[in-house]
Order: sequence, then C-alpha cells, then structure tokens
Amino acid sequence: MNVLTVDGLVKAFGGFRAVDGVSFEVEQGSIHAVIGPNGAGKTTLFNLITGHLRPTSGTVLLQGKDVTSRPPNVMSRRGLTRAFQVTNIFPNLTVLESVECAIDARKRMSGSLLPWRRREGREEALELLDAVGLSEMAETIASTLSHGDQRTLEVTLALATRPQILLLDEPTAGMSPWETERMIKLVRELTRSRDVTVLFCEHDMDTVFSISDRLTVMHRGRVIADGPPEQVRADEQVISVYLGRKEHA
Amino acid sequence: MTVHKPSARRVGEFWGVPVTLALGAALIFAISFVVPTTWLFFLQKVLALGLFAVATNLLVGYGGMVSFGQAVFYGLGAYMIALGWQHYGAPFWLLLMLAPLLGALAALVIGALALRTREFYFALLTLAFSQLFYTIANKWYDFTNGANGVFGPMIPGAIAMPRPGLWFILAVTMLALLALWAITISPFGLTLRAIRENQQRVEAVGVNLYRHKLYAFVLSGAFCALAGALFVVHDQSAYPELLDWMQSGEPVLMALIGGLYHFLGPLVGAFIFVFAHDYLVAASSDTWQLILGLALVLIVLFAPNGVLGLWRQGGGGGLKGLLGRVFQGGTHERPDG
Amino acid sequence: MTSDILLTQILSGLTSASLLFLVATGLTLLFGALQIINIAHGSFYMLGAFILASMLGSSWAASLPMFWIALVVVPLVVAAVGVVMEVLVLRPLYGKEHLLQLLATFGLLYLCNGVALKIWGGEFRSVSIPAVLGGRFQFFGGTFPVYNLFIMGVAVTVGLFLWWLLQRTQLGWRIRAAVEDREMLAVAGVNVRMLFTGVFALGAVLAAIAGVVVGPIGSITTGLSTQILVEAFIVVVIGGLGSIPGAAVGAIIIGMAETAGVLWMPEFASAFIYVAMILVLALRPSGLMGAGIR
Repeated sequence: MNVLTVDGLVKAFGGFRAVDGVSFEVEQGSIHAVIGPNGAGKTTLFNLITGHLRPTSGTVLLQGKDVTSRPPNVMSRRGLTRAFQVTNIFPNLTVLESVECAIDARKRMSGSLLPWRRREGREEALELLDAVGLSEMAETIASTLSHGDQRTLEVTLALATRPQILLLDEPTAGMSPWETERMIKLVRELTRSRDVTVLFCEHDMDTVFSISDRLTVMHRGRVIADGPPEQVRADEQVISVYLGRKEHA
Repeated sequence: MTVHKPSARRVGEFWGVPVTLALGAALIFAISFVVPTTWLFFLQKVLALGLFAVATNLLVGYGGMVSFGQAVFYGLGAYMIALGWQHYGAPFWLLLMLAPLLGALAALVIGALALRTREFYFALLTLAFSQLFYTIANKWYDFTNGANGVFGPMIPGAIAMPRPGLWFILAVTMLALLALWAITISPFGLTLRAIRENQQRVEAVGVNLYRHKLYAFVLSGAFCALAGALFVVHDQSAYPELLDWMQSGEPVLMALIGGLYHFLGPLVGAFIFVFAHDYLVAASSDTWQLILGLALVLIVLFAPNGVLGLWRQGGGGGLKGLLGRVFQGGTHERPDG
Repeated sequence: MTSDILLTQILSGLTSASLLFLVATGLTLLFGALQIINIAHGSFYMLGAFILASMLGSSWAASLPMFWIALVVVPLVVAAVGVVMEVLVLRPLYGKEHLLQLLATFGLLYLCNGVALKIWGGEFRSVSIPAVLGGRFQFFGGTFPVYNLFIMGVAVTVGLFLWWLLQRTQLGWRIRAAVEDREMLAVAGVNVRMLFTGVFALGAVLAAIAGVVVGPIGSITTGLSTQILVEAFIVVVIGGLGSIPGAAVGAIIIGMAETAGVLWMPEFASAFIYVAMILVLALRPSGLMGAGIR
C-alpha cells in the first residue's frame, strides 16, 4: 500500500508553473527522496502536499484518502507531518518543552488546564529525546542550541506527532559532515524502528544516494525520472540535467 | 532507557510561586493588624490591580497577544457588582460569582471577532472595544448613571471595613492567582507559550490556533472581571473610566515593570506602580505622568524583562540568589530582549 | 432635512475629516514604513497646538503675522522633537518585539504629557482665529465658517503634496520600498536609519500642522494628545495600515460618521465610530484598502 500518492499536481502562479503535473507514489516504510536543482519546484511541491499551498489542479492521497488542500494542522493529525527547511522551532522553550508541546498536540491535550497531565507528555518526550540523542539537551533553551542540534530538534518535533509519513525539507542543509551523518543515521533509525515513511528533498547527492530506497527527480516543475537510485543514476536525462550543474549539487 | 531525575530547578519551578504566594499572604495578614488604615487600603488596591495585571499577562506575556482592551472585562466585573446591587438588589455573593462569568462571556464574543485579525489590528480593535464600552457606560445615563458612576453601600457590611475587606480581597486574589498559576503550568499553559514563540509551528504540530487563543482570551477575561469586582470591594464604586483604554494599558505597564515573563511579575509591577503613584508622587500629581513616562522608556530600553528579570539575572549566592531561584520557578523563559 | 443643513453637515464632517486625515496619515506612514504603532503620535498634535498658543500669546504676536509664522515654524520644532524621540528611544528598539515598541511609545505619551503639564500647566488655553480667516461665508441660505474651509484647504494641500512626494520623488520611492523590503534597500546603499528618522519626522510634521490648525477652534489642553488618537487609529485601521488613500477615505468616513452621529444620536455619537471600526474589521480583517503603502 502506498502511504502517499501524488497525482498530476499543478501549481501555477499566473503564467508560471512552479509544479507542472507531478505524479509519484511513496511506499510504506521506504525512504523516498525528491531531488532536483534549485528552482525545480521541490519546496513548492512540499507546500502543496502539506497544505500550505492550494494546488491549481491534481490530487494528494494519504493512505488512499483524498487530502488535497487540507490545512497543515489537519494534515498533521491525519499522519503527515513536515519539518521545515528554515529551522522553525520555539526559540525560548526548552528542548523538552518543545517536544512536549508537539506530543500534547497529538494527544489532543493542548487545551487541558490540569497541571498534572503534563507528566504524560513529558514522559513520552523524554523517551523520544533519548531516541534521537538529545537527552542531554533537554533543559536547554532551544535558541541556544547548535545549528545541527536545532535541525535535529526540528525533525524531532515532526516525529513527536507520530506521523505515518514525515516530510523533511533539506534536512542536512547547513550541517557539518558529522552532523549530516548523525541526521542520516537518525532517518534510517526512524524508518526501521518507528515504522515511519520518510519523504525528503535534498541537494546533497551523497546523502541522497546513500540512504534512499527510491528517487524522484524534478526539473523545472516536472518529473524527469523516478525509481531506485542505481536506475536513476544511469538515466540519461538526469545526467544531462545535472552534468552542467554538478558544482551546485 | 535513562532515568530522568528532576533537577533542582524543576522542584523550584513547581513550588516557587505557590510558596511565595502563601508567604506573602501570611505576611499581609499578619501586618494587617498593626499598620495604619491607609496601608490597608493600599494593599487592597495593589491586590485587585495585581490580579488584573496577572490575568492580562496571561494573554500578553504568556500568549504574546497584545490586548489594549482588558479594561472591558475589568469594568464589566466592577459594574456587575455595582449595577446588580443598584438595580436588582442582588446579593453580593451571587454577583461576585457572576462577574467572572460575564467577563468570560464578553471575552468570548469580543475574542471571536478580534482574534480573526492580524497582530496590529488586534491591539487596535481591542482598544476600540475598550473605548466603546467606556462610551456606553458614560452615556447610558439611565442604566449606568453615566459619568457620575455608581456609589453606595454595595458591599456587605462584613467586608466593607478596611481590615476584613483586605482579608477578603486577599483570600480571593490568592485563590485566583493559584488558579492562574495552575493554568500556566498545565498543558494549555505550554501551548500558550508555544503560540507566543512560533504560531506557524504550533499549527504545524496540529494545534488549532484560533481556538486556543480564544480559550486564553476567555480565561483572561474571566479573571480580569473578577479583579474588577474586587476593585469595587476596595473602592465601593464603579465608574466609566474603569473601562477606557488608558485603564486597559495599566496592567500591561505593570507587567512590564515587574516582568512580562515571570508569573508574579505583574503583581510586583502593580505594587511598584501603585506605590509610586500613591506615595512617591502624591505630592505633585502633574509630575506623575512625567515620571511614569520616563520610567517606562528607561525600562523598555534597559530592563525590558522588568524588575524580576533583573533579579533573575543577578541570581548568585546568598539570600538574593536563593530568592532568585525561587522566583525563577515562576519564569516562563525569555532571555533579554 | 433641508439642503443647507445637509450641506452644513457635510462641510462639518469634512472639517473633522481634514484634521483626522492629517493625523492619521502620519500614523499610517509610520506603520507602513516602520512597522510601529505610535501611541505618542497625538502628542505631536498636542505640542503643535501648545506651541502655537505660546507664540500667539507672546509679546511679538501683535506686530507679526504670528499665525502664519507658526504654521511654518511649529511643525519644524515638533519635527525636531520627533527626531530626538526616534533616535533616542525608537531606534534601539527596531527589530525587537512589537510589544516593547508599543510600550515605549506609551511611555513617550506620558512623558510628553508630563512635560507639557510642566511647561504649560493644566489650564485650558485658547487662541483666536486669525482675522483674515474669520467670518462666515454664505451659500444656499446657510453660512459656514471660513476658517473651516481653510482647514480643509490645508488638508487637501498636504494630501496633494504627499501624493507628489511618494509617487514622484526618489525619497517617496524609497519610503515605499522600505515597506516592501527593508534589507534590500540597505543593500542598495540607502541609509535606512536616516530614512526612518525622516519618515518619523514627516509624521510629526503632519500631526503638528493639524495641531496648529485646530488650535483656534478647539480648547488646548494635554487631553489633545489622546483625544484624536483613538479616532486616528480607527481611520488608519479602516483605511488599511500603510495606505494613504485609505487614510483619506477612512477620515472622510469617520468624519462624516461623527457629524451624523452628533445629529441623530448625540449621546452615542462617539460610539458610532467604534462600531464602524469593529464592523469594518469584522467584514474585512485587513481594512478597507488593505495594507501596503501607496
């Protein structure tokens, strides 16, 4: 069963088509990457899927159900959560509180006025922080974290909603090699132990090829290749698109 | 799996505020027997305004929603007592319980409308509501007595005397503050702070932004109305100025002075504000605006986290550090602006 | 309603609208370019009136056309005050939370009031209309003060000047660009800080002109700083934060609503305008003309 099916998505801004008829499927439990040069439409595509933008046409199916144009908080509750490209955390909350907040939201406890109920969210938050390696930073104020830790927190927030499918927008952007490796390990762990499907878009080719089960290549709003890494790597169109752009990849 | 021991800070976090409140209450109760009557009235006023300020800060400091209209609820609470007595002869205890309900209801209506707008419009819209209610109270002579306000023995004799009055206000205020404290440490309190930090993110994790903002608005309105009712116990009158936008601004100023990001900040700010107004500047009333204005500007520029913010920064060893850590428990995280 | 009464009402409304326009334009400009709600904006209005009163009450008043001198000098003096405010208090706060900026302007409001009380005291002052602008003119069987027409004339002149400034000069272009993309402007070599100070001064000048002009027909007290403020906010909100044509439209609406209110429901006249604001925002949460400087 495909967790996510995108069918003929189009987003036109006036005459300009940022996304021009994109279709692909994401399999349950897989790590699926969308790659493409700058301006290929990856972020717009993500915005369409998560409900930040309304498509001009086309559909998005989550577990077979039509979720096209649903707003982000609804998508989150349906099982599709996104981590942002620009780190978008809660600057003055501690790491623990940030994760607690996301967990409370999932458990529909955000409106609870009973102080003792915070324990439930806190316990689960601590477990999650353990799993992603942020336990030591639990009491740290989020804005004081290193960039890499902030990105990890970013992903953790998304994870806290126990999504079926997690969208990561350029997760390793701006990270040191060590931090990138840690992020890759984290992503692999996620799919394996937590039964989360991951869809991410990336620039960094090494990251992409080392962990993806499947790639979708975009160029100027369209899909030009779709398949396992070895197949895509050998695809002529892909090579020609990237040949002149290898430096930017 | 690692076992997470609560840090010393976390223990302080829970008990800091309730303990301070209890100690403060005990202190006030004790000295109420020996201080001059003017002090009794002073403390009454500080407590009522302090509650108003803390309730307002739930919106402003915790939720990041700048409202210049909380005086609507404050005034409604006051008028509930005054008019309920004047027109219907209703018992005080009933009116006291109805006041927060009226505040909540008004907040529901106003909030439903005002929260749909963007940040700047929200502040101005709440200001407009404040002025609207002020105008109504001012002009609706038949019902509200207009600019004259409502006077008379609207408070039961038992608590109309200064000392019992103080005890009553003290008791109600302490209970209300404890309730507000519980709210701030509840999951909702966390949601509120998250809303202040990053509205987009909060929505992305699945929180219904509008609904939770409305909850906060309603809760704040209810407690502001209660504060207004307590003010009437102190002042034994209600008048239109309680509703206008300058009155709406005062609790925000108090929160700034004491510390926007500390639970007890507004209470400390209320004390300083009323003390400065009644004692320091009583001699020359036209200097008040000058001093207040200057103080505000200086605070915003050099100490935006207020008195408690400065205190926390200074937390080191000794008594000051200990007290600082107790107060730390009441902070809700905001480094220097 | 007879036509002359109607006309009088309309002219009355336009007079109010003119004053509102002058004050609201500064406010909306400040918001559009600086993203600040200046609660102390009414202080410029008040200072304009007070300084006029001082000038007209001075010993030179008899020998010089003081009113006209004041019309030029007072706005400049008030602008200087505004510049000092902006540089000392507001500049350090750019980029900080809006709440802090708002509270700072609140403090400035109190500060200006306090200073005014010290200098001019709490008594009412009044000044008389300059002789050349006195009297009433006749139309269709009714009369209307000439001075009020003068006020309208000032507003229209200022409005045209602003249009020219924003649409036809480089400075105006920069101001409009500052609304769109502050960083880009700085990169392009424009001194953004000076620009902001300039915009702030411009707002002060506009409010001060209104203050000078209202002096002869109102009572001059510290209450002026808040009296017009709320109405000006309403005008700005209705017209859209940052829109000058919006401020004009809003001013006319509110000016008219106020006059109509006084005619039909004198007790609740002032409530009218708050209801108007609430209704407008309920139906169009971004104001009538939306945001963005034009």
